[in-house]
Amino acid sequence: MPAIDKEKCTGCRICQTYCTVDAIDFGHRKCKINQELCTECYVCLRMRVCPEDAIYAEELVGFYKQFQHVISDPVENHGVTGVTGRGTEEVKTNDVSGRVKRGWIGLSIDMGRPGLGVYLRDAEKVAMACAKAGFKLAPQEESPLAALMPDSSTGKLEDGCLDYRLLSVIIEGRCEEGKAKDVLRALKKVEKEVETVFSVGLISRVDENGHCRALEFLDELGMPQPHRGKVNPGMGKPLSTD
Amino acid sequence: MTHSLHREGSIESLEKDYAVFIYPARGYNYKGCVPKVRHLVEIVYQVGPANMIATTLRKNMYSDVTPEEVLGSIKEGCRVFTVFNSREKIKSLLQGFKDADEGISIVVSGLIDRVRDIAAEVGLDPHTINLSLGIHGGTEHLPPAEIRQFTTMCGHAMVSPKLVEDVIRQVKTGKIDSWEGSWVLAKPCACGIYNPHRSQELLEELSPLYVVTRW
Repeated sequence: MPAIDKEKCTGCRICQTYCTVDAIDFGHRKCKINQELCTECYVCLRMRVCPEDAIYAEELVGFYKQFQHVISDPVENHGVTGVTGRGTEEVKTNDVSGRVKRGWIGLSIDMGRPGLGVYLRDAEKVAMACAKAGFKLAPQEESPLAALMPDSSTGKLEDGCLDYRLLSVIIEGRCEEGKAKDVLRALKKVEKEVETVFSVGLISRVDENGHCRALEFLDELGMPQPHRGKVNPGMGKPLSTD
Repeated sequence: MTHSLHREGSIESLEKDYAVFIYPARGYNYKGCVPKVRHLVEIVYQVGPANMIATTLRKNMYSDVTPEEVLGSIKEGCRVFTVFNSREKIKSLLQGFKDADEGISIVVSGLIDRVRDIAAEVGLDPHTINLSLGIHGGTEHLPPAEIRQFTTMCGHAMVSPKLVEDVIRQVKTGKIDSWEGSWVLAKPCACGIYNPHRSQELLEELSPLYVVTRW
């Protein structure tokens, strides 16, 4: 984890400008990393922002600490999914993997995004609310968060990880189209119970008319119709037709 | 990764901002993907990206890296993230990818109607879509929307709101110009989809509106 050598620090405060989550305090003419707030994103280290080279890395001790860094720093490769970033292929290879099939809806709930960070206790609240509404959370092979989830049918995380803060983490999974409304309703309810924000992506196969049926009930739920999206035009092979 | 999905800004500005991903699928077509990905990257260079990164090199276009180095770095499982600043370029890119028919997954992220129109013009039918349903929860804690136009261009939040404010101050006080400011903002983005051209336009729009208290 990053730390600042107070002998070298001149108190120029440049590091505060680069810190993604305001986790660098200033006092007595020195900067100091607030370890409670730091998400281990390593921007300060990777960018070598300190002109005096006063920022250095200390060893990350324990699985949760390493998890915190691997997920917060997009340069790191997640060991199980083999993917950098937050460690998930999500919709980007759905034309080949067929992870979200016709008649199903996928959701990627990006906890702590944009830019606020997230304590895993808040990720747990959202995961549990979704699971209770019939959402099938993605397994470990597809989603790094599942590594902390002994039983993916509940969304409950290991108690020891709950006070760790990440820059963001994705709750992923899918449900049958008929249950999507309940899951989105659960999200609307749980949003009042978390201390951070989350951005939601709705993943759907497109029917032969270019239609996505899940959009029809967004108005009813008070959710805005999307104007941004990602399109997978089906260039991958072998093509999944499910 | 959903790092390109939730970019913010006006429709006019987002019309000049399309992220594209070249993505071999683990467990399906990793094996033998190197020459295919390399060919697709050559097409990217021919069209002219605004920014790009290969995950096997992790240096964006503004990190003193040559196309030869990027192409040479491509190994099995390499993914490529890139961004373009015009509709015409995306159309030309998709046409090039379609003609190449390399069998590697491609995803285009942008204004959904525009992307679907462009895909249709090239004769591509969407297989899957991922739609942004916006931000929920304690949105009152977020930085102002005009700052988020910059920070959400790096979906992993590597570009801090304070850095954006500092760059606006430096542009406003003439210490750097808007293009140099955009480079400063693009550098922390490890995924290479921060669009410095859009960022430059935003800096030019915003800097006159800011009051500077520190010179």
